[in-house]
Amino acid sequence: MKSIEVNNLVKSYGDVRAVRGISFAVEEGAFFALLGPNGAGKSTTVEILATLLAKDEGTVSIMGETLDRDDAKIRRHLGVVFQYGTLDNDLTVRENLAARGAFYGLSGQALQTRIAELDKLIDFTSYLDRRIRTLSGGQRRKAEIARALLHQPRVLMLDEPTTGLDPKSRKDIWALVLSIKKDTAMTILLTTHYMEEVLDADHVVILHEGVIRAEDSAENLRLAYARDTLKIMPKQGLLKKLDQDGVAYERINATVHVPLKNPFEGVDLVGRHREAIESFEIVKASMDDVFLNITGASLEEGTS
Amino acid sequence: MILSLIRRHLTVYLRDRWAVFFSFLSVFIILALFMVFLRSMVMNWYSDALDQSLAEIMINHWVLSGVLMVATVTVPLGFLGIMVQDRETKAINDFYVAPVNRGHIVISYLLSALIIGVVLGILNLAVGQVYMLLVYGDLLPVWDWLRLLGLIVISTALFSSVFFYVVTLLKTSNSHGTLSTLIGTLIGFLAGIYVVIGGLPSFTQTLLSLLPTMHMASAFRLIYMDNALIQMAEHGMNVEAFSLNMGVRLEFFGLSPGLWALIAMALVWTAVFVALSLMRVRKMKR
Repeated sequence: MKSIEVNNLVKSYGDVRAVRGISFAVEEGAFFALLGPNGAGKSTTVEILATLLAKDEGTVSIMGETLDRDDAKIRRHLGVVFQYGTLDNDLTVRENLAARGAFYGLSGQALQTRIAELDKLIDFTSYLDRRIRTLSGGQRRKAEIARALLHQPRVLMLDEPTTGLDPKSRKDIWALVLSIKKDTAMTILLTTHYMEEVLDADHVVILHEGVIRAEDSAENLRLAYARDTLKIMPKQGLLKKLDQDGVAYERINATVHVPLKNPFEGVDLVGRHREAIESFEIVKASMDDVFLNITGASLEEGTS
Repeated sequence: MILSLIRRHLTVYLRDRWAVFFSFLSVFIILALFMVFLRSMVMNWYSDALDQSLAEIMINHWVLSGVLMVATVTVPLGFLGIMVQDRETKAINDFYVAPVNRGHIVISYLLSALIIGVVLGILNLAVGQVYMLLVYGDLLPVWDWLRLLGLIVISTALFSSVFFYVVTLLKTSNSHGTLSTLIGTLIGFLAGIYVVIGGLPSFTQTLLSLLPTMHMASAFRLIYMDNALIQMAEHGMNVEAFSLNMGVRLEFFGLSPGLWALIAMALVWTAVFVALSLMRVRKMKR
């Protein structure tokens, strides 16, 4: 079953066409990533899916419910972590969870039991009774995730959950996301502009200027759109041999770069010309390369 | 669901001690000005006509009724800063993604403003009465307490609905802060406290008399000063002239509305602003 189905979604803000007719589907229980720079249309898409923003055109269904018709039912299925903090700074984590739990009929013992369950996943006992204002960025984000998971949603939307965090907190939040993926049957929809974050996703959609440019698993995208590179420190005569073999290469400073269809091609090449090679390494193509090759733009260069 | 939202809004407001303090700032300023010069100024006007103890009670009742009215304006306005802030920081999105009716979410702010205005209004009344009891041994009859309580509800409902509508038009906490400062500064004039209405030019008197703030100030004074006015009349004072000078009664276009007429006007204003607000709420749905 598909947990999210989006068909020909369009959204404009005045003259700015933020989302230009995108379609995608997410399998139930999948870890799905929308990758793109700022301004690609990721947050607009999430806000539409989260029933916050009216779409201009297209159809959306979440857990079989139709957006605009069954919004209340859709909201029961959704847990959303926004890229901006939404918890109340002057309330403790527990008070915030109690306030939000009430929307889903969670209170009293049932709420405390659920908080204890979440603690096993999130490990937030030490700051559960501290005010949000006093927490670190990573702790706040964990509290936001706890809030989104409170009512055991079927779909968890994470809108750039690690943006603005220090490297240690990013690592912690990412470990938490992966354990949610491992320990629950939840569908996870992630938006990010960090290429390394999509490597763990089952399916990646590359969004650029409101249009889907490519989609597949991270590995397939890498195979299709970017090549691993064999970097060689050559000895005398290597270039001649490569020319004789008809191998395409590029000289960058003292090294020779050979684009590869796959890593074994590199191993074969090194084996054939071992005596003319000082040293070598095979550099895996990154998702940034994939993005660059698909869109002609870097993930860091997006307009916000 | 609405109750959970109201509990959240009120907790957030009361946790922010400065927000509560600033909601009462105008009240504190009025009390300070009263102690510094307003009290002695008005006392001087009536020192010949009234004996000292009756004049003391009269002037205290006058300022306490003004303070009661002012708080029904500034507390809802101060509280509604929470709504502006929630919209500005997008914290409200956290409620919108929950299975809660959007209209209920927005209305919960209006109801919270009403509740906090009434609760703090009652506290305001109680503090004033404790002061009068301790200092002058003077306490209002229970019936007046009940009437004032009813008026606190009406006045808070009126200004909650007015400011609820106004803040739905605001986008930032900054603009709310500016509005609060503006209203906080003007309210002493708009309720005829800093300068008694009888001391103003006749055109200004008429203009101020058309405002709901002056209507409510008059209504609070009519109840709070009811007994004092009777006693003043017994001392042979021209109560009619005093009432018009001090804004206990208003006079405009040949009319001098009594308590029920003032309440009726307040209810009409409330209905108008609730209707306008509901239209805004409908627009705010996505």
